[in-house]
Formats: sequence, structure tokens, C-alpha cells
Amino acid sequence: MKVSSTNILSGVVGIVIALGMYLYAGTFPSRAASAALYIRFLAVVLGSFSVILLGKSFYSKNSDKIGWIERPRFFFATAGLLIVYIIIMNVIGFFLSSFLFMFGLAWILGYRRLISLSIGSFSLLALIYVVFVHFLSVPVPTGLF
Amino acid sequence: MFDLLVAGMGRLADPFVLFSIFSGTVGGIIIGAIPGLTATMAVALLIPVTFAMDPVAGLALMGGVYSGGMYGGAISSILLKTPGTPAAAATAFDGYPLTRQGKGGVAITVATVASFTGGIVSTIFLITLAPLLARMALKFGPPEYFLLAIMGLASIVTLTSGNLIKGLLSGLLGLIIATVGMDPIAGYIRFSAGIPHLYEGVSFMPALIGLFSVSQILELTAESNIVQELSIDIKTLKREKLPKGLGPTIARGSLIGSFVGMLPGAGATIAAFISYNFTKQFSRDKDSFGKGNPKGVAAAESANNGVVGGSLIPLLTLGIPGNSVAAALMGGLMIKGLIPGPELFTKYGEITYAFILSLLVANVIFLILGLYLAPLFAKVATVSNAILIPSIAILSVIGSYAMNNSMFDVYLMLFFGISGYFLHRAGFSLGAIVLGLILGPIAEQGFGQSLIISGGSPVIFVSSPISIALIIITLVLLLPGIIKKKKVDSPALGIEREVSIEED
Repeated sequence: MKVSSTNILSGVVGIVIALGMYLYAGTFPSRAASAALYIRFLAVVLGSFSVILLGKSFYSKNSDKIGWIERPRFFFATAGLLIVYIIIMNVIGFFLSSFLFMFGLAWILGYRRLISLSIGSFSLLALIYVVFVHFLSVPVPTGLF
Repeated sequence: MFDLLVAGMGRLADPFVLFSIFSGTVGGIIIGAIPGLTATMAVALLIPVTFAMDPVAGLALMGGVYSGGMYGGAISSILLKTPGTPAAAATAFDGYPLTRQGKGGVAITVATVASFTGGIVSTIFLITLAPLLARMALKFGPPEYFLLAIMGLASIVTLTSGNLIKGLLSGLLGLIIATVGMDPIAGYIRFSAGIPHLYEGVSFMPALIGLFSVSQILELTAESNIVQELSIDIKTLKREKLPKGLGPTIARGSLIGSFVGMLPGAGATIAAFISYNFTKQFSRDKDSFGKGNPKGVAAAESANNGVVGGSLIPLLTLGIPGNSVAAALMGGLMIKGLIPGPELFTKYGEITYAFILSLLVANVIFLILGLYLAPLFAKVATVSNAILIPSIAILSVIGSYAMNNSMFDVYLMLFFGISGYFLHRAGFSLGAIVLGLILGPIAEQGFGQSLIISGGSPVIFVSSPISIALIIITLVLLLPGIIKKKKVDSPALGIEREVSIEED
């Protein structure tokens, strides 16, 4: 996607959000008059800047392309595993899910030294246990079991 | 002031506080030395850890990371082919050629002593100037606070790299996100989509960790291992004496760093380049710069570490962070109930001065560690991204969860992380979004209270000399961004990079 196309899209989205905010502020009760006014102030500024961005994008075309994702395999593996990790944490608990996530993602990203990886994973989780569970008394997600 | 300073010094005698400063500084040096990891990210991840700690120890830990992180960038700039932080890019101009000439030890000594001096000078500025500025803040009322928030936003936004309008839109986006939940005047709930977790607003920590840490690990996936091999055998690196004749360069760099750091929005990268260029211009041997002149290293390092104390002056007195690390530090202060302003130097003076003095200790620590262990830190900096990425992700998850023991905050972090990645790629400034989030409640409260006082008349925003001065300063701050986009040349690395405060 070209920079100018992204700017046009950003400008349009900005204008839509600004309009939505302005109209939504009209539904506020009278006791929240100052809150409504503040939202309208932000909406007007947002709308104005979005119009300027839109105008500038039409006026001076920037044909440079935005590289959204440079290494798709690594990007989607990281984002996908992170989402899965957060979901399964509620089922199998923080420490087991973290260990599997660390091992799995490092392996996918190309790390093959199993002993270093095991020591690294264990050390990190031990540090988290000492700092968060022991020292700060944070009850980490324990899962269903 | 003197009593509070002495009391603050007493708080530093606690072994746990000293341990916090030491571990923060060591952690900061390592993070600073690893290209791709920033002190901002480290401070963001540390805030949950410091939540239950004694305020002095918690702030000292973060201060140590800030000081150590700023210095650590120099190690990889000199010994590896990559600057650890953008602020250390100017250090590489002469630091890396010195290493190739077999004078890596000299470069490390110069960088360490210059960084130490810059840090000490700027902390002295912080101790002397901040209380004076804080007293001035007593004259501020709601309209002035609203305008101050706008000024802070304008200043940091205009110096971000790229499109000015996108920078302003980023700050505005932060202000809009900050309106989610109850309004500060009437308690009316907005934009919460019926989700109870959002009634009190978007939690700051998950947003901060998502924007600065998760988006960064997604950025790291672009390269398999951002650090190249060590360019020398570290066993051959000897500890060298400081070359003579660097005093004026270090003194000038320290002053430039302290002054530039005070300007809201300016950052260590800008300070380092200004100092480097000044030194080059005033030198009788201009041609030697970029080929291994120790003065180049001294100029850049004294200035970028000088920014540390300087950037805390507007933060602690007016609540305006000087750069993105200071913005993250502000989050740490506010979570502890320490609201920037005059009270930090009166009611909470003991804690504040202890924090400031801890920066001096952090400087001494990195001076000793840098002179004796720099090659070891460089070795640590070669750690693979394949290990870094999952490690930071796990710390981000537990850090977001820990504040409220809430999985919703983890989901929020994920949302901000992925959105932040794409917004950054599209040219929006994540630092400005965070600043908008921080300044949003101050701006809204100032706006609402001002209109209540004036009976709805906007004239109140231009009715006092301070307000008018703030408006003028805001307009002046917007000028450079309108006039031109700053670019700097990196001769040693052969790359051209934009000046960006976001990554300082």
C-alpha cells in the first residue's frame, strides 16, 4: 500500500470518527455538559487535522510503499502464538503455558540450541516466580487444573 | 530544600535501595546495549514490578534503568556494528572506527567517562533548577493546566519523525482514548461499550506495555538477529587511560545535553548530534571526525547522558515528559500517587530528592562497570532475537496482568500492541499516543473546570499572561515541524536516519 493511500484512508477514518464523536456528545445529559463540550472540541480538532491530511495526500502524492510486514512467517508466528498463549493460559496456567510458548516460538524463529533454550526458559520463569509470586504476591493465572 | 536533600540522601543508605539502583543500572546497560530494545520498553515493563516496592526503591530502579540504558547504547555502538540506541548513533561515527584501529579500549573509556560527566552535570541541573520551576507551577490554574497539556503534546509531537499532521493526530488519538470511561467532572461514562472494565477508563499500564513492548517485539520479527558478530575478540580489549584534551568537549556536551533535555520533546538523539556537530565545527582537525577521533565519542556521549537529568526537569515540575522514557517514568510516578508539580518538592520532597540523588549513584555504578566490564555487556548484546522475542512477550503478559490481576488488561495490552505496530508502520507516533493518554485527564479536567469557572466562556483560556505565554510557546514549538523535517547524516555507518525522539 502506498503512503498516500494510507494517508487518505487515515484521513477518511479520522473524519468518520470525528463525526461519530460529535454526534455522540449530543446524547450526553445536561449534567455532563463540560464532558460533551470537551468531546466536541476533540472531534472538531480531529476532523480538521483529518481534512488537512486528506487534502495534503491528494495534493502531494507519495508513491513510497509501506512495508507492513517484512517477514510474514515470523510475524504471524509471533502474533498468532502470542494470542494462543494468552488464551491457553486460562486453561493450563501461566507457568506451563509460558514454558511452551517460549520453547515453541524460539524454535519457530530458528533457535536450535536446546540446552541454552531450556536454561533460558527456566531462568526467566524462576525470576518471574520470585519477583511476582513470591515478592509481589501477584496471583498469576493458575488455569483450570 | 537542603533538609529534604539530606533526608533524601538518608533514604539512599537503605541497602535495598542501593541494590535497586545497582540492578536497574546493570539491567539498563544490557538493554541499552541490545539494539532494538529501549529504555522506554524496560521502564514500561518495570512499573508493575515497582508497584509494591517502597517508592524510593521503585523509582531508583527505574532511574537506574534510564541512566544505564542511555550509556549502554554506546557499548554496542563502539564494539559492534550497530548502535544500541538511536541516541548512540553519533557515538558510532568515531567509536566504531576507533575499534577497527585496535583502540576499542580508548573509545570505551572515553564514552564511559563522558557519559558519567554528562549524567552528573545534568543531575546537578535537576537538583538546582527543578524546585524553582516547580514553585512557578503554583501560579497555574485550570486554564493554564489545559494549555500546558496541549503545549506538552504539541512539543513532543512536532519533533517526532515523519509527517507533522500524523504526529498531531497521534497525540489526539491518545487524548481520545483517555476519554473512555467516567469524565472527571460529572462522572458520566462514555465510550465504554458497556464493558465494566472500561468504566474507570483504559488502564494505562497495558496500553503502555502494548504500545512500547509488544509492538516492538513484532518489529523485531523483521530481522532474525539484529546484532552482527562482535567485530573484535573481546579478550584483546584492554582498559586504556582517558586521552588528554577532552575536558572542554565533555563539558560542552554535558551542558548541551542538559539544556536540550529540558526542552519538552527534544531528546538524547538530537542532543548527541548537536554536540557532535558543534565539536566538529569548532575543531581544527575537522577531517579526522568520522575516522576515529575520540572527541566525537566524548561529544556524543556526554550530551546523550546529559539529557537524562534535563528531561526530568519538565517532568517533575510541570508533568511534561521531555522524551518517551520520561513519559514512561511519569506513568511510574503517577501509579505511586506522586503527581508531578510543586508537591513533589515539598510534601514528597524526601522521595523526590532520594530519586534524583539515586541518579548520581547510578552514574557512579555505570562508570565502574563500564570501565571494567564493557566487553562483557557487548557479548550479552549479541543474544538472538529468537530468545528475546518470547522473553519480552512473557514479561509483557505478566506485567500487564499484575497491576489489577485482570486478564482483561492482558487482552487490552495485546490490542494496543498489534494496533501500535500497524499505526507505527503507517507513520503514526506511538510516543505521542502515550503522551496523549497521560495528558488526557489533565487536559480534560483543566478544560472542564475552566469552563465552569468562566460560565462557559472560552475567553478564560486567553485571560492570563501565563495562558498567553503558553499559547505562544505552543505555536513556536509547532514552527520547526512545519518548516522542515530534520534529517541527519551518519557518516560512519553510511546510512541516513531521521531524528526521532520516539526511540530515545
